[in-house]
Amino acid sequence: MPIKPISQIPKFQNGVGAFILNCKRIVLQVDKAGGSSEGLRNFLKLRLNNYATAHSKIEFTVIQKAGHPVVKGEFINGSEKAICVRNLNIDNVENKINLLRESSGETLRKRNNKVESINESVRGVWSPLHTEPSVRHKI
Amino acid sequence: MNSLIRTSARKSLRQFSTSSIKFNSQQIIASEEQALKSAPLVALHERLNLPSSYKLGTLAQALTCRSSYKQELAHNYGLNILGKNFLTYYVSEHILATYPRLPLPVLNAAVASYISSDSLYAVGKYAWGIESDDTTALSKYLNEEAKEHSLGKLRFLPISQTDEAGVTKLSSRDRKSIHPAAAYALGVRSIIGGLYLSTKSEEVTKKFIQDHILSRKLDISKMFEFEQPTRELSRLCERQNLEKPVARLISETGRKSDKPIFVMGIFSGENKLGESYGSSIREAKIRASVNALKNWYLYKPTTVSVPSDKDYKPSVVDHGIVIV
Repeated sequence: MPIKPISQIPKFQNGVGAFILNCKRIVLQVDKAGGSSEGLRNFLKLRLNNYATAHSKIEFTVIQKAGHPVVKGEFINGSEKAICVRNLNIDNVENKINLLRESSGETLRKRNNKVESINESVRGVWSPLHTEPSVRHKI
Repeated sequence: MNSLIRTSARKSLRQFSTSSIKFNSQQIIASEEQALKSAPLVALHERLNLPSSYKLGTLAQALTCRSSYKQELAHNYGLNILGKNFLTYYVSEHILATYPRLPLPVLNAAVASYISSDSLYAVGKYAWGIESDDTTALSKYLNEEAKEHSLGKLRFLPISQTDEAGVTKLSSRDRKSIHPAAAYALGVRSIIGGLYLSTKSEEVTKKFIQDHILSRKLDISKMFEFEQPTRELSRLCERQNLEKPVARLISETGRKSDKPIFVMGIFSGENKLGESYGSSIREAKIRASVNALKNWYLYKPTTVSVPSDKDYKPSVVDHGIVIV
């Protein structure tokens, strides 16, 4: 066989074609009586119903557990992010849940380049060997 | 002994799980009321933007593999075959129309890259976020999980990959057990098959495959491995009635140094077929030949239309692979 194929796995590019919301589940862990859970309890009582209806792409799970309240996001890439929401009021709890909903699930890291791309440069890479020989840098 | 106890425990759990969910007859599709109780199922339906004609029961069926414990629920084998046919057709025609001169081995590898089990596993698990139903019936019972909850998860009997030291397996491997990648591939294909069944529209299915399967980036130029590129190129030129390919040095630097660079071009008469670099003239020549061959094989028409398009216009029909 003159040509051998090398198999590759295509790279998933969310938003090229279909967009799939990265956050798939939000787990709300709440204490039944603890004072630090008051904001989250209010959220469950007053806003969760409307919030879950508005964001039907996400599955909401409520867990009752003693201790400080935690909201946890689970993402399609398999990662999880947990935020402690102790002593936060209802609005701040909602902000934290919004944060999880909009997150991509990737770990935060420093980006050194303004643009990151898996595509090749359209312009091509500059080559010193293709410049006019008369003006080329001589070693 | 340990494994025997475990299998007997599993059997009793299996009986428990089958008896705990009561469905009316053999091989039925979960009803909408049952399916609505499964939050993961509803969320998956919404996440994939499936049309409302796609019943939740069908989606639950697509996630039930033949090997799953709940035998009375309809399984996804038939949907999977339908989905596989759609996938193979649309992916093949897309690649063939985009790269009409692609050699057959590379074409097959490219189709497999899009729709192989491993590839669809990545789609199902890391793009669609489908979860597998790993928890045992006992832990479900202890967690007071609703019976219908697991309808939204991929249900299959996984092959046990860990063999414990000092434990001899007496029973042969369960024939129905499958690898997770195979199970996810079944699930993804079945969801596509179910989409066609629900909408009865080839257009919708094609759009779905384009959006979810073909929108991923695959660099076909990296899928070639040539054995004799220079020879293959000269045969190609002979076949296409082009002048014999000649390698010419375009530029060089540091010929007498430790790290020289040569840039060579492959010319057929006046026309440059390909160009590349190398740390020796020989290497540069081979790279340039590979570049010329890739330029030929990876020809792409400016307007790509596939046979399933309404306004299809046939493009290049290639002579096929060069025989060296």
